[in-house]
Amino acid sequence: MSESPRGWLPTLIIATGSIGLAGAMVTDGLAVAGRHLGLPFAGSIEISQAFVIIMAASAIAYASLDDHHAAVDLVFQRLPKWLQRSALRVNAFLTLAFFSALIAGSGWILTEGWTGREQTELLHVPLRWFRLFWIMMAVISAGAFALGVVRRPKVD
Amino acid sequence: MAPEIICGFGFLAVIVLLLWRTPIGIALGLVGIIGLALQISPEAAVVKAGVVVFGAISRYELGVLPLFLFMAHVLFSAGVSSLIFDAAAKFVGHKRGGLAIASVAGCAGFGAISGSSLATAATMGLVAVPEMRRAGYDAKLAAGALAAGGTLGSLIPPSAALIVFGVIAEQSIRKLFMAGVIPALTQALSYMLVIWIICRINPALGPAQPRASWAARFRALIAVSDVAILIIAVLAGIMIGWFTPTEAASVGAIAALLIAAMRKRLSKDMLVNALRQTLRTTGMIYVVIIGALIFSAFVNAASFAAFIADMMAKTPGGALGAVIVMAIILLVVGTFLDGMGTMLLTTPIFLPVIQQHGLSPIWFGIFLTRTMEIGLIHPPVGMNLYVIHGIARDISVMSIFRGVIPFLVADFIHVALLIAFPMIAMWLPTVLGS
Repeated sequence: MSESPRGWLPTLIIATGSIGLAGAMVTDGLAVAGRHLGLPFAGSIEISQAFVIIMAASAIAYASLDDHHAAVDLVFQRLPKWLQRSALRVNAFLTLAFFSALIAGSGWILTEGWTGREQTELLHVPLRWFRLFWIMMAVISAGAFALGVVRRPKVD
Repeated sequence: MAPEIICGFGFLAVIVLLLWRTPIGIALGLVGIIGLALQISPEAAVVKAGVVVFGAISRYELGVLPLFLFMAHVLFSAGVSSLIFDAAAKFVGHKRGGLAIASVAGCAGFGAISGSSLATAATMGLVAVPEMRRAGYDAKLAAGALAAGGTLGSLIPPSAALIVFGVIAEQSIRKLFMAGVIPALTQALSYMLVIWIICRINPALGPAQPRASWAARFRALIAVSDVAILIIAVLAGIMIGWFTPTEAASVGAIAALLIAAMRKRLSKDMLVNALRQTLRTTGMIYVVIIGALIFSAFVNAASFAAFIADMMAKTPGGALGAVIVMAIILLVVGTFLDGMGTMLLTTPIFLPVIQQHGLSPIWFGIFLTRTMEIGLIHPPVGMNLYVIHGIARDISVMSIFRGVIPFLVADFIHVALLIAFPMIAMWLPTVLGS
């Protein structure tokens, strides 16, 4: 297992992700208890959904900071070290390009709909702030891979 | 350029990128965006990516995945893995091959907590391999049983693979969980049968251990009773309809925290570690899903699935012929891609074919997961073989592979039965479906 990323940014992301996880967990737990006790928790899915967004966006950023994305090692392990380093650098660039495309698309939708008051049906939770949060996390992810492009990759 | 040709190049590009160690989600997503840009327009491709990504992260149903992962990490930190194996070993350890049978049972039990094959093989392997070797078991049998048993984690509910399939194929996760129960149990039984036969032929491979007293068995059972009740309540709750899979995962996570607290294993460090592991794995899986959904949009825009469906409609043998062709393709793809990659690459193509033949997408989810499990134990990828090798360095990968061959034979028979008798998967959802 690789060493976990340290510093204020990963700690902050773990905190936001944990808030999302705990929020979704407690909201759903209360919804189940309420339903079986005859006290329905109206809009629990929308609240839980909001927490899921915070958790998922944070999780993606944390996995990126940790460079913990699923990959196939079959051929890579058999490459010479210099080619492994090239592969890692190229892959960091491709990942940066992917996240940049996601940021561009998400940003486009956010700016188009900023005044459109996109919100959930029942509780009218405004979704634009959650879109903004996701974009921030995607920028962090892209930043992590931008560093991967310029830094000399470590090969075991 | 014809859309089918663009799509064909897209698949080729994904495979090349995957072999170049580009992360699975990135390879799928990037090729999907470029493919959409070529077919429609760059603006539309980028906007589509933006729509897909927020659609995925805001999907309530997908919240089930991190919650189950958190439950697993908390229970793992509470030390349940060794207790599960210990309980099974107390009951069957005195039979020939009993510890190997117990390790398969332990894998089934831990698989129901972890939802992941690799985690199941690694965790149970750490506990059971040294125990079996101390007891004089043949190294090949011990390693083979663990490598094969580990694959149960992919199928036995709540399974991460089934959740991911449910999301990308837009199928009910509840029904997929129900459909996974009997195939997973029969798979575990088939492995136990293999061990029994091997030890019947050559008893020296798995010598019988001293019989545990009923008091010791009872104590071992009591030690895992809280976790067993949790797993059964979560799964039964989903099946009966007490709660949705996401709610079940939340309730399970809360109960796991309570269990850890009762066992005096709940600490700040343990909690932070469980949260960190959960977020790491969650982020990794979300990126794979987002990439797969974008790739799927590209495949759909090219009508490639319809093109393949038309081609496969001409397969001799109708639906059965098509399924056999798919099984062969999945096994071939599984030789160089891992399970998740195989699932995400093939689902957008095969699912329309399945639906065109009037077969159930739920059954297909089980069939796909079951078939991709085989890739976990056959070379060259065979991740579980390497996991067990990592635990027992003195057992070579080749020896582990030789040990796993009888289990592979059982796997092929099991998959054939799943194809021949779809009710193995569909009976439970049919009975409890509504």
